[in-house]
Amino acid sequence: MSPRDDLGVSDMAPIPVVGRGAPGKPLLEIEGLHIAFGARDRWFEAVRGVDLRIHAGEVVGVVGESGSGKSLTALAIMRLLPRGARISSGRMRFAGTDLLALDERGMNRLRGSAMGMIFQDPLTALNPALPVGHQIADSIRTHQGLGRAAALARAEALLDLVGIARPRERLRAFPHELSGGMRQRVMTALAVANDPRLLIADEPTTALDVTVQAQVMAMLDRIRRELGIAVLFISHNLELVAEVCDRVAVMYAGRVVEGAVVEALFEAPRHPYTRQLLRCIPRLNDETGPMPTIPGLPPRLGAIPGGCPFAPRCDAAFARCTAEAPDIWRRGDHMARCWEALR
Amino acid sequence: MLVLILRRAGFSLFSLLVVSLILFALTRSIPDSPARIVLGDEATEEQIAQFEADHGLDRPVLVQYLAWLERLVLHGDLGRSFTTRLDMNAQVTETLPVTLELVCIGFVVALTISLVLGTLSALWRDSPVDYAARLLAVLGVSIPGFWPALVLVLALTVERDWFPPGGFVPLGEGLAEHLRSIALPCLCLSVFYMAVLTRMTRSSLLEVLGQDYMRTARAAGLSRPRVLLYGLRNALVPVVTIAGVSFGHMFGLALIIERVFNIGGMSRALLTAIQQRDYALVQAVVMMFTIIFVVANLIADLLNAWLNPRLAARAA
Ligand SMILES: Nc1ncnc2c1ncn2[C@@H]1O[C@H](COP(=O)(O)OP(=O)(O)OP(=O)(O)O)[C@@H](O)[C@H]1O
Ligand code: SF4
Ligand SMILES: [Mg+2]
Repeated sequence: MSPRDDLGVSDMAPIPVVGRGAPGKPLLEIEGLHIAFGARDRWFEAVRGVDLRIHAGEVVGVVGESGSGKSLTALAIMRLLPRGARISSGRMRFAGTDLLALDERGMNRLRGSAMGMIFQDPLTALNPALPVGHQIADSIRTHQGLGRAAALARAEALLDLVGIARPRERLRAFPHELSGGMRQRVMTALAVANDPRLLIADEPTTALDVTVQAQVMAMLDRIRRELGIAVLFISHNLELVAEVCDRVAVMYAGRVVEGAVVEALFEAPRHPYTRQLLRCIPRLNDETGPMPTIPGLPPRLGAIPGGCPFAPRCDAAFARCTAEAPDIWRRGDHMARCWEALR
Repeated sequence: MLVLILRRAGFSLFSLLVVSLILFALTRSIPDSPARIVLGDEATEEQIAQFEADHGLDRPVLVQYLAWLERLVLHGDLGRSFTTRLDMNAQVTETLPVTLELVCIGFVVALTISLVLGTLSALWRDSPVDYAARLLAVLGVSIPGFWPALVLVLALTVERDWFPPGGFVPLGEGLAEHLRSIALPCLCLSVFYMAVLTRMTRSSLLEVLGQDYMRTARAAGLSRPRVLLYGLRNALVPVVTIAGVSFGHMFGLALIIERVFNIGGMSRALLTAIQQRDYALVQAVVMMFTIIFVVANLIADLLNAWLNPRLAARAA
């Protein structure tokens, strides 16, 4: 029996406090991840060299416009890329294991156990034909070899943990009988069912109503603290990221263009793209006028310009930007891929 | 769930009543009185009136219907043919089991093969198995049902005598001979449905495999067979619906197949009845088919309600 069997908080093992920039080996380490789409002779890269590091217990945010490769990166960690996509190069180590060297069975031992994932749309992400308790219990039985009754009892404790009232009754509910917020709580229960060390949350609140978003976010934050889980938090919402993350990676056109601890990123952003993103955060007291957006569109896949891919939209661009791909500027653990930062 | 079962069963019963009423009205609205058919053209008006009075044919149609229904429901009695004076229950009990056996075996064969083939072809998309399944699906749907029957008769029975060219050997005369006599008819019966159901299984499962919840199941680390089970639970819904309809539909094709293979099933009863203008027997046979059709659909509905509770919730 592990001390966390009943998921009570009081008798939990103390969680090692891991601050930002924690020393020691990272829990997850991604280096030069490339993901390519295509068939036979037509290939294009959607992710073009992502580096990412997450330490135990840390919350790392990933932001960037639609299509920048956030979800693909997350799915690659679970080795659940969509049909037609493949990891064309790179290294991924998780808790000392080379993820790319694992076979399907090895990955299945990690999926849903040491790493859990929450998807954006809780309506479509749960199986409509099975009671939610059944779905959670199946995952528990797969990884912990418990019997049916024991697994259901644990599923009930999990539903309680994610803040669902009357968990015993809810075990028998089908997804369509639950509200969006409830479904996302169920998704969370499923993702943390087997004590993960890493939780990947891909826009977990984007599909929810604004009021529900805050509740679900608070629940997620509470659970990851209680259980001491490291989180990879993908979001469009910079304010949310500022609230919950320790470090942030900003992605553009399949690359991390700036990475830093959250204060540095928000107070002293070095990449013009990050600065422009920050300017687009809607002010709560300013309800008139359209939400500001960055003019122009990100480059299309397969048509990414040479030099800096952000150059056509950059307000700080100069001659060198279109000629040469930018080098990396680095100070401590703050990095940016930008010529202007290097000047 | 119980409410659902009662609702569906009630609806089935209602459709049976409606069909039987229409059927009854149709057979009674034929200009030739059964009396005229039985007694011939020379019969006098008095003779005919006497016959109609004897058989209750002079009563209003609705009264006749209720009497017929009462006998059928309370005593399972289909009545007696006016023309042959034969007990129709005897005719039906003699011929229905033969047809039922052909259809049931053909159905199980079609369903089993199509579920396996459809699933494999969806899982191994664009593999040789998938191409074979797709070819079978196209051929099976586009070739009329009796054509493979004729070809098989020629190739396997006339050319070389692997199977008897026709005739029905009852089970009482030996299992092997019995099976040999029904193997080809059952196969012919199943080809079309095999094709339809394979195609349905494949496309439905392919659609389900792309769903978010399948990715969730994999993200939870479930084993491949269990992930597949998760998918089939959703993918089988349209397959079950079509299978339910197919089962009833197969009785229609069985009539042709029985003729080709010279098997004395329901087709013999029905065709004799039609030739002799024995409307009461036609009515009895069609009623049997209707009952089978409605029951098959009821079972399919209930199975689907179990597979996919959301459908059930929507219906309730
Ligand atoms: N199944 C697919 N087939 C082809 N291209 C795809 C597929 N999935 C993603 N892509 C492409 O890969 C790129 C990155 O996709 P990804 O889903 O990672 O973006 P994202 O950053 O998560 O965006 P969003 O914020 O909209 O979720 C996109 O440009 C998209 O067009
Ligand atoms: S490298 Fe040049 S174009 Fe690219 S972000 Fe920096 S300043 Fe802008
Ligand atoms: Mg995404």
